[in-house]
Amino acid sequence: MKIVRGLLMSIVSAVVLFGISGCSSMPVVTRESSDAMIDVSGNWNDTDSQLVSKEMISDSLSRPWLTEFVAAKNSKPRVIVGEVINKSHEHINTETFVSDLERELTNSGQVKFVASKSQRDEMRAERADQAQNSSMATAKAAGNETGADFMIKGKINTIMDEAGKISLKYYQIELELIDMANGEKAWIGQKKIKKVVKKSSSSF
Amino acid sequence: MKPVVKSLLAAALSAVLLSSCATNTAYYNNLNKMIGERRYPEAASLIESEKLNSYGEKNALLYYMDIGYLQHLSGQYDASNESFERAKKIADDLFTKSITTEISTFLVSDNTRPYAGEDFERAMINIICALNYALLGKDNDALVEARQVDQFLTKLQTDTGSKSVYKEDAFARYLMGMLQENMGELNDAYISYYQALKAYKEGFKYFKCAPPTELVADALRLANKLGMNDDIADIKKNFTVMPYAVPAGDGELVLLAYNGYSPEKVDFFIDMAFGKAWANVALMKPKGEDAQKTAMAAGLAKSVIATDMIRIAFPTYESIPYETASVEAQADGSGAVAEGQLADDIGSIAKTNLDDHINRVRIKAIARAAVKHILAKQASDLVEKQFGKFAASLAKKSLSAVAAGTEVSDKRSWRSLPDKIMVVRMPLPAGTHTIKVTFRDNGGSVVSEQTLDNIVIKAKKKTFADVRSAR
Repeated sequence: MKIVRGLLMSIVSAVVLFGISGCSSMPVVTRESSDAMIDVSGNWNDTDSQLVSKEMISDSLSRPWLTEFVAAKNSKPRVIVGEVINKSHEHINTETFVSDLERELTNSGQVKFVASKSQRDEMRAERADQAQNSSMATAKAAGNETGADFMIKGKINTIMDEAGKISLKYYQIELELIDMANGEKAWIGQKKIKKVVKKSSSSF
Repeated sequence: MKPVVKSLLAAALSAVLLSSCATNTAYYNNLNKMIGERRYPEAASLIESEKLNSYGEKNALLYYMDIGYLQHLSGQYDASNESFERAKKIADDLFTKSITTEISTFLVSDNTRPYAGEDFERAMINIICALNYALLGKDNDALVEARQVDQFLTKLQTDTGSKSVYKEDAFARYLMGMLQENMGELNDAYISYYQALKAYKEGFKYFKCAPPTELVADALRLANKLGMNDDIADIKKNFTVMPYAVPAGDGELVLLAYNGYSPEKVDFFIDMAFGKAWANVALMKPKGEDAQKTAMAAGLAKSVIATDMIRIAFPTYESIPYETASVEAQADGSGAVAEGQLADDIGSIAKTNLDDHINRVRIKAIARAAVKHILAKQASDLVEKQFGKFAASLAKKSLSAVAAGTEVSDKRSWRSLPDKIMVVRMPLPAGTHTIKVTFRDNGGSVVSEQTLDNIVIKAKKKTFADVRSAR
């Protein structure tokens, strides 16, 4: 009788449990420190962006181009961050990565940082508006911007290898510091990240 | 006796009630009607309103695929990408199979399992996302989708080896090649074109789709540019070479025409009923909601009348007829007409893909029918020992009714997809153009026309556009 009950209940439970939608559950939220290193999906995340920008900018600023420039010009170089191209398998928000690079550059105190192209476009529109609408004493004149001495450009590449439930993700981030006067590459940096992501193949 | 009988009847009633409504025929008929009338925003709203009713949690992937595609057709490209990102996550999560869900597919039906999508459907997600990004002018993001589908197809080949017929997607490779070439990635573009040619050639015996002649021309052009001399000879030997070139300084329109409706799955029932001195085997393929309900009722009736009754259900595809057989485009009301070529026969891929693993589906359906039959027999034997023949007969008939009522095949598929994708390629001078698109039937008569305004062509670049005809 117990066996019969068990068999019958398994059929009924299978039908009832899986024939109707599951009960909704409230999400569980845990606040973390913004610099905590947390990997959830194995994809590129804020930890990668912060680590890479910190290490690469630190490497860049330790190279001879900086001391040579300061010795030659007797001033800090002006640097602008250009485009970082995403050539990976993921939709990476390169804007946050560029922001992290800009922050590291500025906070180093060793370079002067110039506004990006989009920011300059906005400023120029504001100056044009000021020329029209602001008092002569307070309006900022056009043609006084400081040109950048160097531009940082980069790309993010990935190589993927997957079979079954295991995937190997290899990120290669390349940055170049280009002299705006003559196009020479003053510094080339490279950072590699390797992640092994193992999906669980059964759950209960 | 009463609690046992009550349990059995409750099981029968709940199983039949909860498992019977797996077709959503009326809903998809309504959706197809809206698509046929090009009421895409309304169709997207309908899908949204049916999220819990016609889809539910088990069919979350289907929901996001359907709504993602209708948002794409409505021109809501960002929203479409968001929906498809949800779809990708769900498909990825479903890689993790739940043990309890798998057990239930042996006790009830495959519909108890969340829908994980066919491999070709998962590749279509990346294809439509790539088009979304291209239409938004986000070429870099379009290339991310190209890399994702490349990775997906590579993994598919690693995981399935030679076991599956669908292990490469010629159209995905073709489209990705065009996107890569647009971004100046000539080496990657050539590899994609060459892989597309190979996939069309190897897949022809299954999917009956020859490579578009422009693709052959593209592959040859890049092979020449990159110095791939061995490949040049190979391409000329294996494919029909037709001249196609974009004049220097011109750009090119790449128009994708989505035609018809993807086929729908229907049940193929095999009912075996045995009486004391008779046996009956019936084969049924009910089409439409009324026929489906009749077949269900017949199964329940037989399970009550017969001494023993076994029902096995397999899915099979039925084509949905439509008129469009060809598509052509003309720019600015004058000039040459460019003819479309078949680039993706989704209906054919769907049917071949099902045929390829139907043996697995049949073996499982037979095993499930056996499990249900044995459970019912053992349960009634035990009931007879305790409560006598009448109770045992009631138990057996109840459980047979449960078994028959719950035996429906998994008929889920991405129904909003078209049956075929045709590609029209048209060199045009840089500037803004108006494109008239004409859909014709087999006899050459016009089925419908559409006009695309403000198509901006850039020099040395491909501009993508798409149209849908479901008539």
